[in-house]
Amino acid sequence: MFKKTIYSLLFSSMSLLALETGDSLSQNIQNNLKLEADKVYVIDFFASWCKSCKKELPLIANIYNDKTVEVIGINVDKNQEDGERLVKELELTFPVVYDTDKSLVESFDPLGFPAVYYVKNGKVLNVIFGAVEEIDKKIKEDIKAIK
Amino acid sequence: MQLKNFNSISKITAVAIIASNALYAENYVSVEFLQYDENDNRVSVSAPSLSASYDIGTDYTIKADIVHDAVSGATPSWQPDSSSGASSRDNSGDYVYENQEFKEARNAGSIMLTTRFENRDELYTGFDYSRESDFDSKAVSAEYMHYTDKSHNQALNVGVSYAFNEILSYDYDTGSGASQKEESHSLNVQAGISQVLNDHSSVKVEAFTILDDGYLTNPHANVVRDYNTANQKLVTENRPDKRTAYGANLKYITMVGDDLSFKTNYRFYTDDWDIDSHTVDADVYYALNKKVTLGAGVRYYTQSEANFYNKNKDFFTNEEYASSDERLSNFDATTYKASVDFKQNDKVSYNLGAEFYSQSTGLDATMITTGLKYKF
Amino acid sequence: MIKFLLLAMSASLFMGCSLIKEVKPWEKETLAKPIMQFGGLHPEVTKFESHVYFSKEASRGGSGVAGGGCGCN
Repeated sequence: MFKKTIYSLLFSSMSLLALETGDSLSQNIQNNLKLEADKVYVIDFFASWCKSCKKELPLIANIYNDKTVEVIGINVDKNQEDGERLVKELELTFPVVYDTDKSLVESFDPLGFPAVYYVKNGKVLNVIFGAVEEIDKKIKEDIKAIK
Repeated sequence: MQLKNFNSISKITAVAIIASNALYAENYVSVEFLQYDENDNRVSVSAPSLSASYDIGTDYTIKADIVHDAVSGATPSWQPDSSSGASSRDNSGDYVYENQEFKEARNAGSIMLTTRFENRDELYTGFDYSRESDFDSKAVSAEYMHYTDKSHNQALNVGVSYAFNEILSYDYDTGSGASQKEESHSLNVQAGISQVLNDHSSVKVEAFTILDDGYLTNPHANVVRDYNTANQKLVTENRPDKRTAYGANLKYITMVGDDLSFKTNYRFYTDDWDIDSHTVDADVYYALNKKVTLGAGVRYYTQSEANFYNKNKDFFTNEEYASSDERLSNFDATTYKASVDFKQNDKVSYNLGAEFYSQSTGLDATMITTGLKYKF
Repeated sequence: MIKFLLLAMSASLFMGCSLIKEVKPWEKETLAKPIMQFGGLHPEVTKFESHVYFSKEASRGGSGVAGGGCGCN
C-alpha cells in the first residue's frame, strides 16, 4: 500500500484517473458517445500505428456485423486522416469517434493499448488491455456471461 | 590447400544481432543485396540475403535469415619478396608486406524466436550457424527483456550467448602446408536498460563483457622473426589464447516534429590485449513525404594497438606473441553514410544505401545496399 | 572529430528533453515508428555493417548477444 502511494506520488498523472471495472463513465462521456440504457457496448480504443489494433479490428468488426454486441471505436491518431484511412482500409462498419484532442482517451486513461471496455448503463463491466489472440471469441464469451 | 593463400582478414561474415528493443513485430519477407568493395582492388564481397519474420499469434514471433557471401580479392600480409631472388620458403631473401589473392564463399543462417509473456516481457532465443571452407561457427543465445512499469516506458534486458568455432589453422613455417583443426569459444554477456524519455525520445544504456578462449590467431597472417640474422624466418602470427573485453554502449533516439529524427550511439571498449576503442555514430533521417525518407550519417572509430602488435619486419625475435595484422594497430576510421527509403504502399518498400569507409591505415571501402521488403 | 560528435550527441540529447516524462500507451505514435527503433530501420543492413566493422576493426560488442563467430578475425 505504502509502495503504491509513493509510486502514485512520483508519477502523479499515472493511473489515478484510470477507469477500471466497476467505475462509472461521466455523464458527459455517455452523452458524447450516445450510449443507450440497458445496452452492452464494446468501446475499442485504436490507432493506425498500433500493429495489434490492425489485427484485432477486423475481428471486432465481425462481432458487430453479426449483431453480437454494439461497438464504438475510438481512434486516437494525431491526424484524423490516418484514422479514417485505416477505417476505410479495414472496411469497419461500426461507429468510430475521432478523438484527436485526446479528451476521451485521457478520461478512460487505459493502462495498455489496444484497450477494450465493456460498458452497460454507464458502468465499466470489464476491461481488456493489450493484444489478445482471437479477441472475437473472447468478447463473445464475455458478452454471453454478461447477458 | 588452394585456399591457404588468403588472409581471412577480409572475410565478411555473420554476427547476428538481437535487436532487443525492436518491438515492431509484423510479418515480412525481405531481400537485400549487399556489395562491399575496397580500394586498390583489394577485397570485394557480394552478399545476397533473405530474411523473414512471422508472428505466431500474439505471443510468438519467429525470424530467420540466410546469407551467402562471395568474397574475392587480395589482402596484405608479410610474404617472401620474389624480387629479392628468394624462393618462397627458404627464408634466404627479403620480405615484403603485400597483397595475397584469395577467393572464399560463406553460407550462414540464423533463427530467432521471440516469446512474449502475460506482462509482455519478452524472451529471445536464437541459433546461428556459419560455414566457410576453413571456419565453422555455431552459436546459441538468449536474452530476456523485462518491463519495469505498466506503461512500458522502462525495460531491463539481460542476455548471454555462447559461440563454438572450429578453425582450420595453417602452419606457415612448416612449409608442408599441413593444417589442423583448432577451436575457440566465445561467451558474451550483456545487460542494459532502456528508458522512454518523452513521447518522442528514448535512451538505452548497456554494458557488456566478451570472453574469448582458444585459437584466436589469424592463421593466414604472418610475421617476420629474427630478421637479418641467420635464423630469420616468416611464421604464422601468434596471439594469446584468451581475451577478456568490457564495454558500454549508449544509444539515443529522438524525433523533432513529424519529419526529422536523430540517432546517436557511443560505444566504449577495452580488453586485456590493451586495445581500447571509442565509436561514435550519428545519423539523421528526414521524411520528405509519406513515401520517401532520406538518411545521412557519420561514424567515427578510433582504437589503440594490441600490446603484441608491430608492423616492422625487424622487430620480432623470440616474443611469444607477435602480430603484424594491421587490424590490431593504432588507427582511426570514418564512415560517411547516405540512404533513401521509398515506401510504395503499406506492403512494399525499397531501400538504397551507400557508405564510404576510410581507415588511417590507408584502407578505403564502399558499401552499397539495396533491398526490397514485403509486409503481409 | 570525436569531440565534435560527442558535442553533437549531447546537444541532441538535451534538444529532446533532459527529464523523463511518463508516456501513456496511447501517446506512443511517434515512438512506434520504425525509425524510432534501436534495432535500426533495416536490421539486415545494420547486420552487414557490423560484419564489416567486425572484420576490419579489433573491437566488437554492444549490439546484442546473438550471433556466430566468423573466420574474418
